[in-house]
Amino acid sequence: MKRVITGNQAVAYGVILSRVEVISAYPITPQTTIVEELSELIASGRLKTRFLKVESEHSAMAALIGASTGGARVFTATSSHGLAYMHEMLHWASGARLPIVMVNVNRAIGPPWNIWSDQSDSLSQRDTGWIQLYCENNQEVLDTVLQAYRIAEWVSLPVMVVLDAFVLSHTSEMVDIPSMEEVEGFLPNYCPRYPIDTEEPVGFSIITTPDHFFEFRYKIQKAMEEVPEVAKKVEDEFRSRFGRSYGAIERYGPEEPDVLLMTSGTVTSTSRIVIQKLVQKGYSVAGLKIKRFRPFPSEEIYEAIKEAKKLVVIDRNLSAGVGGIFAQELRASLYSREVRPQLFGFISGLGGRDITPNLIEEAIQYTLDHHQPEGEILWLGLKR
Amino acid sequence: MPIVSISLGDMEWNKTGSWRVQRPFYEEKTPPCSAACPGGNDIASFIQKITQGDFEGAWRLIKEENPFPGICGRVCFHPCETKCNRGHFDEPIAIHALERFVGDLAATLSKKMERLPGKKKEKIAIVGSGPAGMSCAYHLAKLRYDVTVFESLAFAGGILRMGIPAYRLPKDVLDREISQIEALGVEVRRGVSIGQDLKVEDLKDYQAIFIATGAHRSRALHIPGERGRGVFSGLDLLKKINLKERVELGERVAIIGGGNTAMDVARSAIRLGKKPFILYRRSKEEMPAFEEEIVEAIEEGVEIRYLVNPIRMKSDDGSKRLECLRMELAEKDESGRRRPVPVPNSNFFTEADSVVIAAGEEIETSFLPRGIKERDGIVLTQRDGMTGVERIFAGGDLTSNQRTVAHAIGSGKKAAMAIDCYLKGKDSEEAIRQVLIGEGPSISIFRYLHPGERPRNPHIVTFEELNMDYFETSKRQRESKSPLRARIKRFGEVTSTLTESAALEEAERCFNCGTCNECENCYVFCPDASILKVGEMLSHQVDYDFCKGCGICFKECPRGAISLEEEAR
Repeated sequence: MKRVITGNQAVAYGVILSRVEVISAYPITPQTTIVEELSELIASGRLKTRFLKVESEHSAMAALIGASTGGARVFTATSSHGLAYMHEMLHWASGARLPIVMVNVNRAIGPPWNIWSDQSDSLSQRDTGWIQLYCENNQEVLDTVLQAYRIAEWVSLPVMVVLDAFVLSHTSEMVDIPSMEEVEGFLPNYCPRYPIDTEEPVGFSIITTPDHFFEFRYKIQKAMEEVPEVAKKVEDEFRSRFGRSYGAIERYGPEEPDVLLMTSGTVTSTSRIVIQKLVQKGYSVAGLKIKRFRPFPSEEIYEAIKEAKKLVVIDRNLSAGVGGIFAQELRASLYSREVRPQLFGFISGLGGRDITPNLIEEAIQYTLDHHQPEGEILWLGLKR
Repeated sequence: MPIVSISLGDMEWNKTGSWRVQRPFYEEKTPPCSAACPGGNDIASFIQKITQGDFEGAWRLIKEENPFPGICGRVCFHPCETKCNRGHFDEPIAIHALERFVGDLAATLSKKMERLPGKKKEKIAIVGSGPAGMSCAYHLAKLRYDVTVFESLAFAGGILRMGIPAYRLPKDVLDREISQIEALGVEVRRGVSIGQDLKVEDLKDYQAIFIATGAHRSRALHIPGERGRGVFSGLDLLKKINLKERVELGERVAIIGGGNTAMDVARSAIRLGKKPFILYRRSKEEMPAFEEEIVEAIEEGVEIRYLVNPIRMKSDDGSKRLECLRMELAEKDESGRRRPVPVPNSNFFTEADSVVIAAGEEIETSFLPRGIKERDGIVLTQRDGMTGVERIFAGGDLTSNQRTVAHAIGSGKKAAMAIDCYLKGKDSEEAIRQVLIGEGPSISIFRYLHPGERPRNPHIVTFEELNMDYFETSKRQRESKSPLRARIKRFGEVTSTLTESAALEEAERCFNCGTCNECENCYVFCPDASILKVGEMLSHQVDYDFCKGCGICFKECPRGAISLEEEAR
């Protein structure tokens, strides 16, 4: 069924089709319409899901940790300050190896107060042990929610599905919504690894001494390392059933370009148009979309970039004192490689300022014009 | 090794109760309604029975203390509602309406008191079958005594029958609740006047006597002309109307007084097609009549003239001419009300065809044996109701200036207890002290009969001690009233009993102050799983092996049924 829906509605469809049993959430713009849509369906009796009202995002995640431990498939959505408020519980969810799926609609963190798109919220949670998947369009949003449950339940790690504020969350596009029967074939019911049995009570996530803690962390890393393989299998199956796939990264444009432009989220859509236009003009440019941020797809990225002369990274985020986080991750992943193309790290679009085709073109032109960047951070569209 | 840390052992060895410095415990406390009830009804408990749908249980709870739920539910001035904590939140619980509902519903279930087994003991005589006398008879019968009530009229009920009009208290309700007392084996000897047919001194076969003859002599105004033709005393007139005797009342009826008798006369006169008006020497605020009565009287067309005091009456061609003075209010008198003083040279005249004097009632003492003392218009007794004469007790309006049905019922109950103590040689003062509700003066005879059962701390739960997080505002249920036009033409009852759904809704509003209603907040919130259950019900026991004394149960109990005290070291 094809329908024109917003990104947030696409999330809601994904949740319904995934037969989520427990939802707990606290409202925050621009996420709110996701749980609004779901809670209305629940209130009207059309969706048989338990909705737990809570007084904060911290409690929302805590409630899901309980429900997930109890064996339920669970969901929440948040943004910005809400995500930051959950921070402690994000560690707990991954440490307890719970396959929780959460949607985060990227929004800047104040002050100054701002409700527009900016990746600083989700990226500042990069060390919490969550898988992070960034989406480019509304179809991908729906498909990624469905895949997220498969991956999460396979490797016993929580997954954060990320989409841009307003550009996706509140913008309508045509989305092909699969039927419940089709999704049931792809995503079976959740079967917890350690079911709770009241006849044989046990305590979960109990204290461990230095004798054991270390090993539990090692196991989380090992699970993360399984993700590329697992995600590929999940996506292969998804493609065979629904005819669509995304990959951890996506390389587009001509081979062996002078400049390879790396983006994430909706900036990729704009970049596709810019690159197409420049290639027609005779430029040697190509694009690289990064969908999976955690675990970072170092191998896939290296394969995609080693023939490029220069790399452009546009970061819609800022780790003050260092620069763009995608650029930083990329530098780290390239350090041990023999081929290390020159990297131009641009910061742009913070707090929802538009990253226009002109700005992207400016970044590419700068890179072509310079042998090396004039600084670790290049500011794109900054008013000086 | 699993992927998460899982404990297969348990922590039962760790008796965290040893960390405790304060101890929570279940302790039911006294709700303000019960403490305010002169009849000593266990209100919070009977309302809880209603919420459980156990109407018969509710009826049995009321009947433990008070034989007259149907009557009190109609005519009591419900001080319980004035004190109801819900009044601080939105509107007080309509306790009177719930009591009436229970009383009436029990009637439809044809609930009768079972005659109690066991041999009757001493014989007791009761003089007067009003609320005090019948309450005393009821409780003494339940104590297995052989009780005889002497009633001078041909009907039992005293003031309930002859003083309260049928539109407030239908006679069948009265008959029903009196017959339930008789069903216990109480003999009511109607038409036997103590004083005329027999003397108190003749009651020698009885081991104790309770005198509750009420206050039924209208107080005189002491003004010229008040003994003339066409002048009635309020209670006499009501008695005639209520016993359906012929009354010759003129068209315009002047009623002097501001109490319930004045209102009852005026509203009865309306129903007889007359045009009554009330002359009252103070203002509306000082009127002793119940608020509802004043409101309903005005609704029905009774005219009330305030700050008017008649000083002379004259007959004039069959009609009456009343000379009156205008009054104004001065400083407060000993009754706490502002004292009326005449406005100089304000004399004026008003005309009426009949005049009714309803300025209060006095007691009749001529029949009392010597040794029974009277002072300031009441018979003197000890705290337990014993008069100056051995084995003779007195109560009700005869011994008190708080002349309400509920006070009379409470007084009769206390006398029953005192007589039991007297006959068993027990210290009645101490026995009464043991069963006070809150600080008193109301008492619980249930506690006298069942010491140690359903204990309650006398502390009266305040609004501040309740947790309002668990309540939402709601509307008080109101009894519907028959339309005014129909109401003023007949003596049918004005208000109707609540429907079952309305009663359930109203009962649900009750905070259950100080009374556990199994809401399970304590059970849900206890972080140490130390609130113990027996099956589906709370045991009201705390597992002190593990309770750390955090006090959450105490804090989250919406109704103050849990106490917290420092742990003794």
